[in-house]
Amino acid sequence: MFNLFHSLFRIAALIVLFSAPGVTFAGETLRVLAWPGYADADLVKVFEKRTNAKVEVTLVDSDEALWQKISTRAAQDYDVFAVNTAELQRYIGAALVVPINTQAMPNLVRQLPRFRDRKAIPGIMQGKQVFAIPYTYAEMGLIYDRNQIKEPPVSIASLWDPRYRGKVLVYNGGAHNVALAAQALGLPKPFRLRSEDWPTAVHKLIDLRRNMLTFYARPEESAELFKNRGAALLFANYGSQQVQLLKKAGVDVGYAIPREGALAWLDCWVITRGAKNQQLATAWIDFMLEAEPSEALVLRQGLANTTAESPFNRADDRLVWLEPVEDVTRRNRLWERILSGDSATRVLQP
Amino acid sequence: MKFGIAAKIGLVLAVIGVAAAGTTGFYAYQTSRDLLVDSAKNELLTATQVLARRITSARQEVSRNLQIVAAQPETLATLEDRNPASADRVAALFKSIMQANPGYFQIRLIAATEHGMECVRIDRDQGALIRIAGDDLQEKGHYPYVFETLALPAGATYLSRIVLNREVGAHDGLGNPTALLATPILNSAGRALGLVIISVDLNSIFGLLRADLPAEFQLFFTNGNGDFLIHPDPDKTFGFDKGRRFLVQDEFPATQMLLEKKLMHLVTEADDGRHAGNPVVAAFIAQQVKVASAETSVILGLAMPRATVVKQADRLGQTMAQIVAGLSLVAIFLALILGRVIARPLNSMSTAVEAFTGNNILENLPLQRQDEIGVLARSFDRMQNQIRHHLAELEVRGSELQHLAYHDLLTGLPNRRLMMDRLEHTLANTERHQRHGALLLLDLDNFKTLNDSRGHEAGDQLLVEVAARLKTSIRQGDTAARLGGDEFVLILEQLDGDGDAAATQAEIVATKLLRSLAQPYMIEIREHSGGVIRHSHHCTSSIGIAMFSDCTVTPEELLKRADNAMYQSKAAGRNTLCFSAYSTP
Repeated sequence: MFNLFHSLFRIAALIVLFSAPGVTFAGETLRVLAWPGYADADLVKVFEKRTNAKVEVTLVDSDEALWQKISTRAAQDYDVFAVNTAELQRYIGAALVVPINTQAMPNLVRQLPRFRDRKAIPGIMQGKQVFAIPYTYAEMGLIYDRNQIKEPPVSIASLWDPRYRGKVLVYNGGAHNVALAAQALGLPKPFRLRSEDWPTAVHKLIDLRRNMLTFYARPEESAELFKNRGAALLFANYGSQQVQLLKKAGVDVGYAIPREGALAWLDCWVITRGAKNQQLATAWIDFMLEAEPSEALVLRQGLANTTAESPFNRADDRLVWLEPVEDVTRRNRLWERILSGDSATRVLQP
Repeated sequence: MKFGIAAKIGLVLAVIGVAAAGTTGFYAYQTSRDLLVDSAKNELLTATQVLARRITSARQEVSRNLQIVAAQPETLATLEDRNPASADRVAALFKSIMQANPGYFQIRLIAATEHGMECVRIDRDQGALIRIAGDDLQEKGHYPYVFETLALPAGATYLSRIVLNREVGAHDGLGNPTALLATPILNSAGRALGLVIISVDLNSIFGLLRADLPAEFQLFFTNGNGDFLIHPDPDKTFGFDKGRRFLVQDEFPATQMLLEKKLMHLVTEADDGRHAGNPVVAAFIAQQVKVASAETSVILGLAMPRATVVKQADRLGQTMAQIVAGLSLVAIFLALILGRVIARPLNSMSTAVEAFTGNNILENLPLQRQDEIGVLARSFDRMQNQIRHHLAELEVRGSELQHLAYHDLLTGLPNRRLMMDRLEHTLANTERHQRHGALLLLDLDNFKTLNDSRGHEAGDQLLVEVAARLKTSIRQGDTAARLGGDEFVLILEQLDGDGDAAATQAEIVATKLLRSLAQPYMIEIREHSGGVIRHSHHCTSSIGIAMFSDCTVTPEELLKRADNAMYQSKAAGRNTLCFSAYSTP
């Protein structure tokens, strides 16, 4: 009986909070750090209209840039941001993010059961505290030009295939690319390289560099390069989002999940330690779970959302969920050197 | 002070003058200000176009340097056979070019083979030029600037995207805005063996450009998407590289037209956001990148504070205000003078007319003037003459009437009215001077007979002659008057203080009169035939005398007494005199 009243009271409070918008957050500014396509202007406007708050969206296109922005000033510059579960761990470790009040999020009930079961998703809970709300996910498959590659690539090794030399597009990101090299080398733990693994991994990545056309950071950039430069194979860091972009651009592409398993990321919304108004940040995350933003992810970005089953995956596709890497700084330092064209000896210098 | 016609005319003229000066000044100011602002905008646009040309020529200068390197046989030789001596000479050439161009971060010769391995590379490191060699040389084949340049024909220039340089080991260029310009090196067979590439320091190039501009000018440079590459606020540059884009179309919405290629240049104004406190006028030019490039177009912009533009107009406004104030003063002064010029003759006329009522002659009339005021003055003058003429006539008539009122028409002697008046006077005088006076009433004897027998004309002649004899018989100061008919009166003043002596004096006068009046009279009688007959007529008089010495007696009473005495004389046989019984007090 008490619980019933308690729940009713909570619902009533929530109704008051969200049915009388414009009063609650007038004059406040929400600083959102998001990936392209997560906070489109029209959706932001809906939220602004509803809350009367002003939303300042900053876009980020790599995990490193994200870490830089959040960690540089102890998360004081942003209120809420989206990060994948693997990357999330170092933010929790550095106490840059704070637990989320899930009771103030009526839209959580819209999520699919596997995302509602937050204990089953590694990394988003610490004890009983919820640090992240899953928002979207994608696997990093291989996109190929069906005119140039008749048979769908079955292995990550295709990226090193000399037949596609100068026709491979690779994402400009250290952590993923080292993991990719580890998968290609058949190393047991792609996110946990042993010290003896590094030289081979670096050589493998230099080989990758020599086989690739160039690198990209944004989905649009990859689509443009793929189309205009006649690329044959693309490591799709943004997954189905890029497939959709390329199809829209009129390129006949196929999408393959390699047998080694596609790295897959699950992006979650988190609230920073520096959030000026946690209620407003929570309201933003809850809004992101509504039908409109969720559908926008699928329709505009080709990303899966957490409230409906993904149209992009096959049941037997093997996904390798991203995990925190052993030394993200080292991975990035080495990757920058590799990308700049250094030789293996110079890359491996301390 | 009365609000006269001069003041009114002056005020109206002054108001008209000031209004005319003010209106002219205002419209002149507005037109001129618009012209000034337009001209300032045009100048700004021209300055931007000049800058754009200088950027183009700076780019062409880089292209020329690229071609100088490309034209060196050593360059091709280095790529073909990796001869260290050739490489040294190329390196020396690179150094000399970089020494001459402080805005170059780096010059490299990159091979098409070996994954784009750098063959010769000179970097600027903390200002000094260093040659990178051995294991420090890097493979660049996966960078677009390599594979794009290699695909170009001989002599063509490639321009990379303008980005923050992220290539590890780039020395001074690392992290700085950089534009890469490259040209392919082709062998005799036309195959690209490599490329020579210059890294240009964007800040240095724009720093030079900016140096010539006034300090308040703001310089903007964006790529074809509108991302700021140069901006007064460095935090707003290369937003695409830092995660938060800052676009020219957000700061200057009009530039959307340039990005959509609907316009090639425009002048706009911004007064919100960054410019809320200090609105600016800005000129923007879209430039198509003429060389092969990842950048399709760039936008160059120059902004200056609107205050600077308007300042010139404000100076103009001040000058205009001074001119208007001066003109207004002149107008007021002229109006006052004009008012006075018009009012002065009017005033002098009104003064003259006022004086005229004081029976003076109108003077100072502006009779000589040829204008309306002259006509008015001459009319006044004529009117004055007529009035004066009439007044003189009236005066004559008046004195005549007065004479008639107090004198006998026939004899010219004072009549009864005047006599009574004088008598009253005399009574007062006599008492004051303790003298005696005498009233003599004189009646002609048998006058009626003459009148009846010879006619009134003869009677009248007699009466006139009697009057003449009376006048000659009395002293100056005494009065002779005709009471009417044949009755005359004499008033004798200043007789002796003693009553008897005075009576004697009166008697002497009366006796003398009787004698004089008894002399024959020559009467002219007009015959019916028209002829005139002179006829001697004898006539006597009877006189009654009433003496007086004070005012206890009224003139009427005194006259009555004299009348009684006269009748006593008649009764006593005529041609005699009698004293009134009351005569002696």
